Amino acid sequence: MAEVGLSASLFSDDRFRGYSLSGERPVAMFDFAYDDPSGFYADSGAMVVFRQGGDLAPLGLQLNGGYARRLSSRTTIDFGVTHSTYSHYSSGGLPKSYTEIYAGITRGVLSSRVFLSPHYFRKGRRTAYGEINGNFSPIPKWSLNTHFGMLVPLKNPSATTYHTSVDWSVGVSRELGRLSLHAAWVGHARAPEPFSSRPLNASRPSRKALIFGLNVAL
Amino acid sequence: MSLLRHLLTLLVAMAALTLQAPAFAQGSPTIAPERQVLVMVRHPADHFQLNGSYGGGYGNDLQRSERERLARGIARNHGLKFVDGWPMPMIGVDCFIMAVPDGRSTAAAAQELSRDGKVAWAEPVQLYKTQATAALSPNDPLFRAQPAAREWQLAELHHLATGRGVKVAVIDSGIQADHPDLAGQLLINRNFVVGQTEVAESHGTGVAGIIAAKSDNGIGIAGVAPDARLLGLRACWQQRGADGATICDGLSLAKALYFAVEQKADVINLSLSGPDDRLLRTLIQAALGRGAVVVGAYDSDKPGGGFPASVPGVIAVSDHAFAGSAGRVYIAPGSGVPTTQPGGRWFLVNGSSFSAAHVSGLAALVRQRRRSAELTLVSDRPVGGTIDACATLERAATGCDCSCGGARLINATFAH
Repeated sequence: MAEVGLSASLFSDDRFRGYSLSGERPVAMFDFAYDDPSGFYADSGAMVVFRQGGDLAPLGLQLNGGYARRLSSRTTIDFGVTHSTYSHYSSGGLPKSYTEIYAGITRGVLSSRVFLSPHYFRKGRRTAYGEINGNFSPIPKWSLNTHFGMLVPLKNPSATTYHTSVDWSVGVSRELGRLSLHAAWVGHARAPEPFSSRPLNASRPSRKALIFGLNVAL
Repeated sequence: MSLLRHLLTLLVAMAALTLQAPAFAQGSPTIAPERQVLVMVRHPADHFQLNGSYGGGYGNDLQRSERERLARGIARNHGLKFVDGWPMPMIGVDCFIMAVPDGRSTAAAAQELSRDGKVAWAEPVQLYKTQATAALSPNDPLFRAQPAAREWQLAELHHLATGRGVKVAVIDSGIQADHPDLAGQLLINRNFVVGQTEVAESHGTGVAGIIAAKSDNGIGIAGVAPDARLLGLRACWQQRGADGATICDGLSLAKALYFAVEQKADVINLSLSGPDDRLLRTLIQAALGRGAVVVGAYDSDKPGGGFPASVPGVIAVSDHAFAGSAGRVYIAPGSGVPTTQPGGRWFLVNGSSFSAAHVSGLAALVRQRRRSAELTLVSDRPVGGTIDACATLERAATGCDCSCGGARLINATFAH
């Protein structure tokens, strides 16, 4: 039976691989998910940012599709493609986007994925991103989430130098019926900034941040 | 400091909201289990989610939204009330709890749901009973009073193994974790009964004591596996009233079983009996498939010893006094057994519940010596019969077909 999900979230910041795309401003997110019994799935999400002064600005749009298959009671594999576009607010200039293909495996509470992008926010910038995530539920309705990721440049456009960078997060969430509350300590090292300039009207975002928010399953 | 302040504010807010959580978030304690059905829907394979990496994994909320929307739709279409949902990826299903309106049978509702193409299967929440008779009287405990000390030569067994490093899940009523004979023996003491708070109860505390009461501490009794560690999983409760019977519902049992398998319990003790149940059977098979030993109390009033004792792979256990003319049932001490009681006391118990507890303790001893091996019980019949605990453990520890003190066996049978 196909499953359809909708959710709305408010978060104090939007961090992409450790880097704040919202200039450390709060964001609202709307997500849609579709799971087909055959294993194919599709997700999409839209984000807006609460700018200084209180008005809203579009922040980004994400699309994702793939196929997942259960190999055993504990192990699933999945692969797919994801595309994200960010507004001029995030990039501090022209809108930017990237597309990645990915493959991953989930076993018990751990999951790991590798993403490959031919043009990571910039034409000719080829990258690989690997991540390991843990999702533990030591107490019913509570979960502890951990993430570690590493972005590796495979090929840099001429006249640019991008280095390997890492990011991480440790988060906790509490489910309260349709509502869930989240807090996460997020950080990065070695400048993984996807854009050459910072978000509009923002000072350089800090490398570490505590972000928190809530989600409502609609 | 400002970060610390933010964190504290958030924690306080989360705690406050936790206290005000709506009832449906925790299941519905106001709806009796007998008026509920469990609806199983195939669980989609886990996969990458947008926004799933940061903010505490909030990508998971989308999957939760998907599940609840589907469940609410099913409930609406069948005139039921959605109560709660519970993902069980380990067995590939999501379990939804739905309340059946008064005047309609839960069996009929489950049958109707099972014909729905969106539903894998559905079943009423069933009730189970522990297999114990009332305590004779409070008694001063002594090691020598324990049947296992005589019939199983417990002191000899402890020369070979004490259950060190082995996890035993006790799915039962509440255990008194701070009982002087049990303090420090429980890794986890968790309540799975919706709408009830954790409380120390007779049956669970008694079963826990037989398996893993501390030894050589100068008080009370010695557990069969005193160095094993217990997962106390409360899925049953003691009824108020004259007989104080201990009963369990299928949903609480399923949650506790799922947790035990997730926690990689080496041994799972189920000192209870009731109707066959597909969800519980699936979870027991998952436990067995992952190498756990599952021990069930034999109910002589039910065909095949009742459920779960009748499930292939589950070790069905009883005492001589309760076994009847059973075929595949194993016999272990279960009459006049001193064990722990709530209130920091000890008492005498009877019933196949406590025979099962003895075998769970023995399984922990065997698992300590041979972690990868299946439990091979040595008994006086090809299948079932009186267990020779010494021979069972000697075989696991040394490979010798002999009993306590090295005496070679003549008429033993290896089975299971």
